Amino acid sequence: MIAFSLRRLLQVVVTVALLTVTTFILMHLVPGGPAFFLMGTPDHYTPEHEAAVNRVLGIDQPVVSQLVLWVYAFVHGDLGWSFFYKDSVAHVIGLRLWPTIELAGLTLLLTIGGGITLGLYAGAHAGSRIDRCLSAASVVALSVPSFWLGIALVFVFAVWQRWLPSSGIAALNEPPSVADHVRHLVLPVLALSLSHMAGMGLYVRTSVAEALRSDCIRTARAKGLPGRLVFVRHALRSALIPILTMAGLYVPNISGGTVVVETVFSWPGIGQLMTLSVVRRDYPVLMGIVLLLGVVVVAASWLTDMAYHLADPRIAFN
Amino acid sequence: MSPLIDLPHHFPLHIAQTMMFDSLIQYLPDGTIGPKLATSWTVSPDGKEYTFKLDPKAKWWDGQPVTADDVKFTFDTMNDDKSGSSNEGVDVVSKTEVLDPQTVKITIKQLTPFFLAQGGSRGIVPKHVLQGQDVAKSDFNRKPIGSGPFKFVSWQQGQAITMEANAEYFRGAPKIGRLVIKILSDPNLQLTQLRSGEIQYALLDPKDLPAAQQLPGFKLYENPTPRYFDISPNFAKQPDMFGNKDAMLGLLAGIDRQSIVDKVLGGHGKVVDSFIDQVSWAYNPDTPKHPYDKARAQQLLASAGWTGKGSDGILTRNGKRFSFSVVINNFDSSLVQALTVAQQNLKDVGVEMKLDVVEPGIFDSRRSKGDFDAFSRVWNPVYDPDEASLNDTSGAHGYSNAQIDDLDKQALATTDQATRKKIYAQEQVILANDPARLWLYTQNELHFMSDKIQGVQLHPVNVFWNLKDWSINA
Amino acid sequence: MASAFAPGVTASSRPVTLPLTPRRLRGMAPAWIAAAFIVLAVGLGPWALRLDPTSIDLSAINQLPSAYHLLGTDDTGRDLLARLLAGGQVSLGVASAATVLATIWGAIYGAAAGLGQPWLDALLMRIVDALLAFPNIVAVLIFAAIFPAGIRQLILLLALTGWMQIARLVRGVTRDVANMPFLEAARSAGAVRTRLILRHVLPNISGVIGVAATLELTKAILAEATVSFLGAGIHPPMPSWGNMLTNAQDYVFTAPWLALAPGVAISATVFVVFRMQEWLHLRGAAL
Repeated sequence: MIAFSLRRLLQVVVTVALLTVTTFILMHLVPGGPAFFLMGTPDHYTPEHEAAVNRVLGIDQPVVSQLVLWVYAFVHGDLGWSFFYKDSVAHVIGLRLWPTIELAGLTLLLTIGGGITLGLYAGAHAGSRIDRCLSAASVVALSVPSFWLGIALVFVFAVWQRWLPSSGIAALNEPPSVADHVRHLVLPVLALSLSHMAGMGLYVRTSVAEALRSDCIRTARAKGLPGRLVFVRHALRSALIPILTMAGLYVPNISGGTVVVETVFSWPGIGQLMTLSVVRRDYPVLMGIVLLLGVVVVAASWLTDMAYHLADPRIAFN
Repeated sequence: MSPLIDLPHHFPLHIAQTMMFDSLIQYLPDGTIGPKLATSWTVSPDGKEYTFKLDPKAKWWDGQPVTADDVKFTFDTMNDDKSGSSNEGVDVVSKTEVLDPQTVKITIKQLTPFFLAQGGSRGIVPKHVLQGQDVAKSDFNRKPIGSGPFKFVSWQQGQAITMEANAEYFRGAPKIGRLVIKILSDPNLQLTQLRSGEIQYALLDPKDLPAAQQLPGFKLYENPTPRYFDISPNFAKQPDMFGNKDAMLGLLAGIDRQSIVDKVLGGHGKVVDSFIDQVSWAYNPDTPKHPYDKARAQQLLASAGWTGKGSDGILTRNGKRFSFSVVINNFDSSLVQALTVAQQNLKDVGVEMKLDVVEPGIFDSRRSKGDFDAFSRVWNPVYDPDEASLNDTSGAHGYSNAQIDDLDKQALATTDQATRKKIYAQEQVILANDPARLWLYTQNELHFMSDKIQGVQLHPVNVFWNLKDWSINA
Repeated sequence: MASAFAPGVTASSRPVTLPLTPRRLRGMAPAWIAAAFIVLAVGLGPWALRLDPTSIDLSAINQLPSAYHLLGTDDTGRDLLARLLAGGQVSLGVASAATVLATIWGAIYGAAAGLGQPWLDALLMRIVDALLAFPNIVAVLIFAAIFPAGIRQLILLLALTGWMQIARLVRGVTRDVANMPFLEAARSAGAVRTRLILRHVLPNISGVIGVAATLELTKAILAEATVSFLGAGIHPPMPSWGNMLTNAQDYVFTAPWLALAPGVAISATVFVVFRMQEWLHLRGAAL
């Protein structure tokens, strides 16, 4: 187990390193640079001024030496300086981290909670009308693009009926309150989590349904074990694997999915920052985000594998 | 947020800058120059030395007085390559001298009629705070200390900038106590928030106006500006298409610009036939116009040699099709709409115009490399028609007209407005007959605000220029 | 790259299964009919109905459906029905092409990993892991920035972001099949490797490939919509379901119905593909 963990750790490090280097090189291949956003009205550009700005930012150096500098700084704990915000990358990302964690975290909770509940119920009553309705509804939820859902939600709840705010994380002309913040959370979380919940629900449902039909359970029932006990021990245990798989896979999904939702709802999180940084060619911030996300995703997949093994020792380590 | 780093693209930050930092002068709505930090100024006869007398009452928020040292520090830093600041407006400055704490003398390299307006509008920063610091990395950028009517309170990145009134402002405290500038990435949000009362002002897009006008309790201030949109062809790259005067005139006649203004802008704009707009003092009302005339367009194109016609209806000349692509910055959404209409218009007269919508970084990169057939964007000849004139031939790659260059030099050699007006009148007529660009239209600014707000006065650059005099009725 | 574009849809999510009954199999018919309808409408509609998706009519901006314009008009007066059908051609064409590319490459890659030596397997799969960790959006924006926008570029982009999960799936199932006892037996009996692969491995993994391909199709359709929505896909005036939604977003207040048609079209098509995938799975299970 230890050997496996160490090997896996090494693989994580290598993966993240590869990721970083690739992003860095790709970013610098893209035409255009940050100077455009830093120089003032384009009517008054001069190539000399642009060159001066690039010199100050350090981007006139060859890509490889820039990469080396970045790695050197990173190893010393310095993620660099944002071209656009004139602030340390760590601080810029830090400010936007919590809103995304909130959004992604709540979505994950809803996905697992809602997905398990619905999936268990549907699986236990497999073939019934309720099950068929839920399954069909879930597939519909999976088919709808999340940004369209977001727009539709904004329209229904904020434009047509003004129950909920349409954007941002807090109304700025009132003192901050928890209730207000929660109101702002409702629509974005809903937009993001509905399809994940549906996916999870379907997966759980299938596993539960098949487990219940399996021979083990029939034998157990035949042996006279009370239904509920059978259900809890076997059905739930079989549902555990898919839940873990899905949870592990949802981390990269959700981290990417927040980009779209954050755009639709003006939610000041990492997703929005990522898009803006690419447009603005704010390389340091972008590298910071990619690194962060890479670590999170790879770590999540590692944890999932760990959990797999704990849940079912029969599963081999590869 | 420091005025050293000019950020016009990030509109909310720019407004906040002008609220928090004072400039030497104030550009007034009628085009004249009024005092701000400087109460008076004199210009030497050769036009190269400007001496400003600063208002002794001007103070930084921390209580220190604003002095000539601050002005010198600001201008020197802006022109310092290593600081990474923008030297817009002050690039012509060769020397800044402190004559006494209240007097500063600025020498410029050559006579520049618009220096006072442009350079004088840059915000001044405090020397005692920024001296010795690395301007690009200083905390000042996140916690500015200015001298303006509104004091910085907080900046939630990506969300909002909050400011409060400076009760000790030397030109009179603002009547509005708190100012919050919200950063909304989606135009729909503006409408929603106007309706819910979360915001009291929004700069609207023409297409949102009908919905906004349904809301009670608001007023529209429509501001005609000299900002105009055009299509700038690359004469160097496509000489056979654009190099011919008749072809250019034919293209101009082939676009129904009035319809674009009426339908796409909802009438909130005007067709332009010149690089100088109607609101400018230099406008020549006798400039020949180019009304939409399909027949005339076809005639002109034919006389330019485009007599063949392909099976797809596109004109040809010596086997080459009249087809080009226009690069557009995806920031300008109504421009894309307008050009879609223009595309259809041109197709009707046999010209194929393809639209290439790209993101800003690429737009800029292609523009500076000359990698385009034509590009389309907004021009902002705000302070002086000469800005527009400089743009006119420099922006049109490969276009050259000795007469215009000559006239430009003449116009820059004097500060007498009457003389310059005559010169520009001539230029406009010349360019109308030998266009360097395909001018399209100007778009009026639609300032939509709560009717409780009093004291608004429209201004070609910044509608908030006199925000400190605004008040809100209960 | 993780699929942010199609949340909830992952290649290793077990396909939707409802209990296998003859009634169920017959019940699949509506899905096939719907699929055929969509393909025909999108493929032949614009030609058959003689609709022009690019003709502008400034006197008819943002109109509600009428006899003249069955679905109404957009912000430059173009007929929405025409744009929907033409857009469908583009969106579905792009998604299908991308799926085919991704499936072919993903299957080859995955099979190679599954059948190869352990070191090769580990290397190939770690590369896939690294690619999956790469945030989608960054890839999309970078790609869109490097290559000028267009159909071919979008197909390539979607294929590049989609092949990894297919590879993973195929690798998993190939490895399982390759380790099965009967193959061991065959090998020790002296059977030639290639023949083994062709006769035994391929048929067993083809079912999975089919299911993975349909899942990939759903992801690709949603991905095209999302990418065009973010401004990096198909650009106007060429219609696509994604860029129609981008345009519609600006008019949620003034003309909310503009978003309805493309959104429903996308959802309905993806739903139908899911049903077809169910059918494939059931058919596979029945064998």
